[in-house]
Amino acid sequence: MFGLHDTHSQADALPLGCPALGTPPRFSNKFHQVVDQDCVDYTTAADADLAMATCTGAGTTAVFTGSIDQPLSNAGITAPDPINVRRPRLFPEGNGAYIVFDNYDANGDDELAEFQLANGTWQNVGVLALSQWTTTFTLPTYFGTPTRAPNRHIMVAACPDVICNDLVVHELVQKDDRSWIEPGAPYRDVDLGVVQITDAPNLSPDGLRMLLLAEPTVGRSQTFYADRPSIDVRFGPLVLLDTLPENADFLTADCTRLYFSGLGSIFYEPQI
Amino acid sequence: MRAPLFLVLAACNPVFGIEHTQHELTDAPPTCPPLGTAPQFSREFQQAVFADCHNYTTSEVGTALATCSMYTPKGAHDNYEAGAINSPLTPVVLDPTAGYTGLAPPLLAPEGDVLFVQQTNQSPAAHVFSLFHSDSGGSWSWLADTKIANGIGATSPVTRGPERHVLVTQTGDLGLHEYAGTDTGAWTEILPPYTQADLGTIANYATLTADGLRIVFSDSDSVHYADRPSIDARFGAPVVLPAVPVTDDLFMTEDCSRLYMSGLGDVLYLNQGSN
Repeated sequence: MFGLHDTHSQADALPLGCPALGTPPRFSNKFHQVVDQDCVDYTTAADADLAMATCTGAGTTAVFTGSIDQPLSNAGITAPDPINVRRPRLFPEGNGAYIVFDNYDANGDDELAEFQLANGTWQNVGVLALSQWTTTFTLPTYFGTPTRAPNRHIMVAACPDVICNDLVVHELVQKDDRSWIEPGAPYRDVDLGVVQITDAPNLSPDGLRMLLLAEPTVGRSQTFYADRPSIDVRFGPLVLLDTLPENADFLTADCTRLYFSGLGSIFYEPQI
Repeated sequence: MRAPLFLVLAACNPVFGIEHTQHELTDAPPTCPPLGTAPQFSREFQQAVFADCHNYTTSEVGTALATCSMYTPKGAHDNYEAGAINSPLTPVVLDPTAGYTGLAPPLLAPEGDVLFVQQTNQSPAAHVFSLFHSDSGGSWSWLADTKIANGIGATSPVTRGPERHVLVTQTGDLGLHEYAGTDTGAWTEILPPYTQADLGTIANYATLTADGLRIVFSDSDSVHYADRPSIDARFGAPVVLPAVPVTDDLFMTEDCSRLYMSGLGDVLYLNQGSN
């Protein structure tokens, strides 16, 4: 009668955050189509309204950028001809990215290049010295999203031998002098309880959570979650997130959205 | 005197918690828009089946059928699986008949008790459009073969019987051909084919609603819709369904409420709607 609204708990309006460590986030089975472009490897920054992906259009494939959930455009990121660029991974701060250079050296090895965003343009500031882990044997090599600076952590999945029947995951840490070390033993499929690791895990900006694509049984690759109490310890056991679509492995910093691509579009599932 | 009484009565609703009268259709399930108007679909995809299945078709008795990829150490192979709509599927027995070695994805007829499937053989090259009937215990038995035409590409789901229609993409002229027939009789092409000029594109796959009045088809870039006033008429000019992903196994329910497709390792659907 007096125009008063019903009483609601203030918590109703608060956005979801990450669940407590040890508890995997749960997601809706509804896919929201946010970008109607043929893109893969979509990542978003935590501290800026910036997204990046590898997109194909008009017969070419390139690294595209744009605002989160908005159409993407060519970022003008190139590599020395005839090298291709692919699989961009934005820094959480939004001020740079790691991007793979295909067939970078005379051996045909891939390298991970660092780009910094300055005055609206992306500048290549060199390739990371990762050959100890990535070029020991043969391709493929995969890279996940890094944690925040300084001393970023990054996950690299590489072949352990020439046969390359499986991948192992190395967690690398950048030292103050920008070189990289591997403080612990690599993660192997048998240790993780999966048949095969199929990609490098994406780390959350704080390094406490990761999403990993692997095959729980022969065939279909699915998404696994793991977390840890601090960035300096090994991840706990993997938890299968068993109703997610394939290749769903980029979780936003606040755990509210899980992004993935396919069917010529970029989608997310909201946390529930 | 009437005005003060009206004001008092009007104030009763907030006081006694009486809600405003709502139009009853607010929560009604969507139906097809009038013929001549393309349905719009939501941009929110839903998982119907969490399995790597494709060519998902549903029936009016609540059943669904799909072709699902199974992975083993020896490689991948297809299983034919069935179940309730939007529920997990389980394998069914469906084998080629003598003289044929392969099956195209089987598609349920609207009634749910029969399916149509294209059987193929590589050497000597042969194909036939066959009807199978559902037995108890999850198996399907051959009922009849129907020769449609040479050079069959993909076939649509069939319309409701007794006289059914089917749309076929033919590899020779790249046109979309419409056939009509019964479950045990010969099928004939009833209209001139829809040419590339008619459609404005080359249809890779077409789905036909159970009443035969609407088609949704895909080319290499887009998904298109067309309809017609009666099942014996030609379809009108197609229009593009914006933002619907291009797949070669679309299936639209007869009431236009859902558009099914495969992708992202699942069977997905879009609800009719504009959000």
